[in-house]
Amino acid sequence: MKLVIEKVSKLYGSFSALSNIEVSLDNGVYGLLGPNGAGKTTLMRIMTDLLKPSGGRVLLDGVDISVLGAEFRRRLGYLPQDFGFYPNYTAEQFLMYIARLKGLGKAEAKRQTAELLEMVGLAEKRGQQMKALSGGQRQRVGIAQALLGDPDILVLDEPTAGLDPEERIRFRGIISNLSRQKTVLLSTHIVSDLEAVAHEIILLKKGVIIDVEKPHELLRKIEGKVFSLTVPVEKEFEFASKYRCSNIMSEGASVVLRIVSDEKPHETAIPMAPNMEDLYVYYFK
Amino acid sequence: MRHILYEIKKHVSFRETWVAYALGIGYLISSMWNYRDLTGNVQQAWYRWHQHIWLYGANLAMFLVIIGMSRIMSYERERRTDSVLLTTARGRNKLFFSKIGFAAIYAAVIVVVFGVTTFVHQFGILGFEGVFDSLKGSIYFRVDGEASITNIGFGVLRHCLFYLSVLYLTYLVMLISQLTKRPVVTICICGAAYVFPVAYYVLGFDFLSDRLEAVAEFISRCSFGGFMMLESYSWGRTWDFCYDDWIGNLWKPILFVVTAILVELTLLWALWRRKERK
Amino acid sequence: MTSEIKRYAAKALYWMILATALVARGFLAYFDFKEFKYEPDVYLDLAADYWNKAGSLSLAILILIVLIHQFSIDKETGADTVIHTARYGRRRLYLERLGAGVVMTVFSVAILGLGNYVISYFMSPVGVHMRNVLAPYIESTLITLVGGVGFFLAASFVCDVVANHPAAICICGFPYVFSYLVYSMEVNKNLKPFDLVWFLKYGTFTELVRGRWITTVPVFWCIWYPMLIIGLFALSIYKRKERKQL
Repeated sequence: MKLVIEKVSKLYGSFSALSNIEVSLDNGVYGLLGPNGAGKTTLMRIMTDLLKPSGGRVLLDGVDISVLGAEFRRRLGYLPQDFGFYPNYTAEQFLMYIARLKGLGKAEAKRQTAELLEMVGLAEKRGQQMKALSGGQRQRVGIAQALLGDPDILVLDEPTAGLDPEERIRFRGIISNLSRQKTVLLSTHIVSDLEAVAHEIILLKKGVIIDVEKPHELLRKIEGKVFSLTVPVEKEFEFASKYRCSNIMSEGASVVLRIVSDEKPHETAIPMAPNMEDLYVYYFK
Repeated sequence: MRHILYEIKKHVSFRETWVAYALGIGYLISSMWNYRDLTGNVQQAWYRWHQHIWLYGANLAMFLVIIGMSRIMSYERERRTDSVLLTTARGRNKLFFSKIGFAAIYAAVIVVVFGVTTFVHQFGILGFEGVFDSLKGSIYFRVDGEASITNIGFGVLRHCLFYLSVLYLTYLVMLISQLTKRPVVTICICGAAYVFPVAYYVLGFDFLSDRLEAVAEFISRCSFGGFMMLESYSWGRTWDFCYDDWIGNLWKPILFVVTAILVELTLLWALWRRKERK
Repeated sequence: MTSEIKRYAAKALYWMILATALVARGFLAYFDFKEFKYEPDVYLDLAADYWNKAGSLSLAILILIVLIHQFSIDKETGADTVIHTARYGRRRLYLERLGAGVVMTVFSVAILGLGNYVISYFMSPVGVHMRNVLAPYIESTLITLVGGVGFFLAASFVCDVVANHPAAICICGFPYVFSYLVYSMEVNKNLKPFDLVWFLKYGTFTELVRGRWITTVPVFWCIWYPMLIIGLFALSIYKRKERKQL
């Protein structure tokens, strides 16, 4: 299975939200990384056939997804950023309803609903109304509904928002298990999530793809550009405003700055191994 | 004032408001169309203007207020901005008073637009004749024993009373909206509450027993519907309807409406604070 | 479609309005009984005339408040994106909701019609039975059925197009109620065909929901109503395509 985004662009009036996006997705987890307003959600909405692109098209195995229609959606699972729900439905009722809309038979819908509620740790809350669930629990219902029907393509917009660390680890496990036979597109600001599960990362800035690489390849590109520098507290502002900092840590009378820079910021600066946060700062700050 | 402007901005973002405006304008035009065959009789034109509130203004104002105000109290909750707004330093008070202020302005705009439009329509081609003539000259009113009042004065008085009645409804809609938090339910409750007195005054409930009819009359006269049709302002020295010397006794219904408005505002404030405590 | 019917049936508001309508009919029947105890024909005529006022208003409230809400609820709750990315969350769900709504409209007419029959029977003066007026009552019920289904379809298309329930209530409810008011207006006395008010009186489904055939220029209305429904349906399809919901 191959999902190809072919020269996709989106204009809102004269504002270009996406411009000439070209990327090809196979099985595996793809992380979509970019600052706010980069066009991540717009791209995801186009990929889920919710939004019409101003130009270009999205192809699934060579066929336009808007032509495939229901056949494409049969293979799709989507978790939107602002996940909506019917407040008076219980978690189980909501999942059953979505399962039926996904074309699952009653018995299968019941089986999958129970299984997914168990998987996301909400088996005990199955009878509770959605409005009574916490934000994180609702998000877990959202993840479960995206997984209903065993979709081949999973598009997840900020899936870990609102989840506690334990749940995030659980979610990473679920995605890792799924990634072998599915195409997963994951957008998140929690870069450590991407580091843990993404096979490739798509860097999106102002509606343009600036790079698509495996995480370690991207990290290799910024090798030798990350430094740790310890300075007195009074010098903190000077360095922080001059260089891109991915971390600042206080150590008594001094602070340790993690600086991402093409040149060495100071002779006492120590080169460090880059991580995903450094990568984010390098490309987007 | 700036905060009231924010409320206006919220109000105009409701799609149903624009639908209500469009339908309201259509209704106003149709009401004037119904009166298009002016005979040239000036006093009749004055009578029509005075009666326009009873015939059309009450329905129009009811419609615009119920649709336009049903969402204003629940909008923050609907857009999930309440937790932010109500936790700001003075957000709770400012939000409340800006809504109250907006409601007062909204009611005033409805009454003024309606009054001026119908006034211009009636007298635009008659050249505003008889503006300061005494109402006593009218063959349509039994005003024996009344203080002398001019045609225009009587019209303005009626529109002022109309405004008071519209305020009575407006704050009730806000109160119910605050309770139900659902615009459609608010529309249903307030619409039904209006239909009852209108049905009583227009159709009459002759089929009821005397006791039940007295109850229906009491409800109709105390409700905003009765006041919006200006029927409930005709108090005599006692509770009974009395068209003679009703201006002399006008302070009674006005006191009633003002008290009702104050009660509504107090309850609204209590509910608003309760929400904040939650 | 069963799941959509179940969703309608699970709405407490639907049953509350239905129950209120029947209780109100009970009160009216009681007063009719008291008033016309010795004029059973009048009592029967009023019972058979149920759809003219109370029945048609109850049905319109049910349609506008409950039945068409399904066409805007996804947007209101924010569930629309999830629904529209489900395999059957577009065309099929749309048609199923229309089908379920039609079934519920028919069900509502049946319950209200039957309820009126039973209530009128139990409240009737001794020796009087509704079967004496059964033929006209069944006829008016069938007309109401046709009008009710048409009104539901038109209103649901409007709700789907504007995607806002209160706005749809205004757009459909205002002309509907206006048709009742026309009867008390001066202009009604010399109404001519194709006048604006004539159009508003007959062209908004109200007459049909009130259980009356439109006898003035019937050919025109035979064309008008199907065209109105088809036109609104086409508009709804157009808007759905524009929003990528079909």
